[in-house]
Amino acid sequence: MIPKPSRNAGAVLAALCLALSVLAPSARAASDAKGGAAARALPKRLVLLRAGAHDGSRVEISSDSPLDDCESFREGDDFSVRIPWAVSAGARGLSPEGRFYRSARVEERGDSVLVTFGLREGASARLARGFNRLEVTFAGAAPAATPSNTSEAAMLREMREQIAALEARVRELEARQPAQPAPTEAAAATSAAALSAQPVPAEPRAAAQHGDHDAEQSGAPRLQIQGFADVNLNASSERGSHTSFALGQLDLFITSRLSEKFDVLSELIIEANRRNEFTFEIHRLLLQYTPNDNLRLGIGRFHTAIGYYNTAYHHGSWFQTAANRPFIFAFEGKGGILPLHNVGLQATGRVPGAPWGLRYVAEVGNGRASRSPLDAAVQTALDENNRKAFNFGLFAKPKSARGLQAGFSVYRDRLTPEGAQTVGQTIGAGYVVFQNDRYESLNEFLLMRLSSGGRVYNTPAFYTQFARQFGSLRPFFRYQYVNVPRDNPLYADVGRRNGPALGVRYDVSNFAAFKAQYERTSRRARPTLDELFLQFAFTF
Amino acid sequence: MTKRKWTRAVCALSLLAALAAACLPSGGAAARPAPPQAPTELAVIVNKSNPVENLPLSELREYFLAERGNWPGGGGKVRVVMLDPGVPTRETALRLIYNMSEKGYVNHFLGKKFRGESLVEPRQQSSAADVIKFVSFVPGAIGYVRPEEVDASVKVIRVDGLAPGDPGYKLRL
Repeated sequence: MIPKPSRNAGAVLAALCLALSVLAPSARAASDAKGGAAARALPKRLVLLRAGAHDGSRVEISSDSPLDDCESFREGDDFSVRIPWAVSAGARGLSPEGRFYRSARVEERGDSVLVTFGLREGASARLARGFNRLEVTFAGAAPAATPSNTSEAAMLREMREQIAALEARVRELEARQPAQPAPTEAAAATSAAALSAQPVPAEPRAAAQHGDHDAEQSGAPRLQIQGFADVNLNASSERGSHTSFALGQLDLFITSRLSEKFDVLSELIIEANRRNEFTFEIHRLLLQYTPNDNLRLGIGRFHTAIGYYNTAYHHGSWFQTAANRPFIFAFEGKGGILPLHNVGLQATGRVPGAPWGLRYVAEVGNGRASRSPLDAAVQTALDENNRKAFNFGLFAKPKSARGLQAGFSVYRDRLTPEGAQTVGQTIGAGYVVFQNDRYESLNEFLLMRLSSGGRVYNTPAFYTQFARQFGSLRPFFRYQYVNVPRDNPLYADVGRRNGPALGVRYDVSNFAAFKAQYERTSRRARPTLDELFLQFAFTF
Repeated sequence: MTKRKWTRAVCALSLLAALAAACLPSGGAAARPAPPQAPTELAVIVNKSNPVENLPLSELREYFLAERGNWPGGGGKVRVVMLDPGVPTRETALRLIYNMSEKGYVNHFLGKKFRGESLVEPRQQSSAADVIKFVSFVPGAIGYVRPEEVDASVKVIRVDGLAPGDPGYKLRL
């Protein structure tokens, strides 16, 4: 006999939520206390540059933040400028001694940077404040030429001669070349990075940036990998199930830009099955051609654009608020009834001149195989018939209502189960979603129509999910429903399933989240299912 | 599973969850470092060869959000350039242009990449001088700086017909 843990589970869930809501803010408060220092420690970057004055009478100090809280003072021959809450980013072009000072030092003292000039005899200095710039101006009788001044003058003369020689060489090279190409983005970035006062070298810095596929620069495309993964602890009232830790999917999302208009993206999934064996599958492999905003063509294996959830979240559980997918969007290999993956062609883009940011998506592919325990649901290499699956959808993202997206899609295929009549499949789906930094509202409805032997079998399904962000906490609620007729020729085992899910997502960092979710599912002719999911989901 | 076992399992899980929530550090504080003295106004700059003189704010947002990837009339790819995280001007841009937090911004572009909509994220530069240099070199570039930082190497575009300093200019706090 199946126990009835719902009362206990409900009570414990309430305790869990209470504990989370009480403990999480306190944890955050503690973190904030530390974070206050961290925020305070966010430094001003300070750049020191020798000013344009050739006679060395001016030194410029600039920063990327206002410098209105600086102070200057003199101690003996030393003239100092103290810039609070700053770090030094170097002293490019600032020579250790000049005409008016015999020494220049840049020191970091605690949270401040101290710039000290040891003035020569008779010299004076004053500080002029700009918005994010300071000028130390030196004055006073210039000392007689010292050996160091003499050597400095000689060095300057030598440098001028070298510059003149280099300029002549550049002119000569330019004259030899018929036309110079326009400066590239990479060249601009390098140039801009070279100007940067960051102590980080320009090249590693550029390479570290996301999305900097400078394929043209190196001559070969560069692969970028973003990982998504989750680790779970699941408990269920299902007879024969055990409370288990479980590795979720390890999703390696790979992208590469081949050129300005061609790119490749792929999702490789490694996960453990119910026999504790690892399986590997290419869930997406798509070569894309994007000539403009109105057309993006793709060929390969992709996620079918049925509804919203399937293309918005794919396999990245870190993206989704809840710990699991609505069961109408469950993957084919996990009992799902929709053709979530397809192999073929895909075209999408903006509808030219249309209002509300209207976009289209059109797909043709092998579709899904007829359901059989021996079949792989996704027909990656071989279709079971010559009829192709078609999917067409329209969706709007109005500029005036950012975060809102609404659309519909119609999917059509013919399935040919072995030893049975062919089945015509039509799936209509519609959705309205709204997402911003604070709110999430996902609402999708779907009708799958199967026709076989003159009979029609309709499967209605929907889910609605609402979440509200409170700092790092995001409590959510979902209600879902699917009703597969008892005599459905393909998916009768799914039956009717409906029920609520309640949970909370807690962002432990920008790229990792902890989720706790309780789900109660009523099932036709089967005991009600109570499940508890705890999950750490992250991207790396 | 007996009722007693079920109760024990759920209690253990909830205890674990509560411990995890209590012990883990928060990402929220780091995401909201409240930088002082952020600029109150932004100037949107493009390359001087770009024929665009004015953009509605809603369309400007689409370029910065990578909802549009090409300039109108065959003007080529849009290259958005942002300042590094932590720079006060970026905070202002996130608020006025993106209407997002830093975390929301990261999620937005990660999501766009994941959906295959755009594999190119905004390029990041560490200072306004670098942003200006980048925009002045790259024909399709668009970026933002403080109005007083603009120089003659780039072009400031109007937003909803208004320039920085005009009454009613929308990129102003």
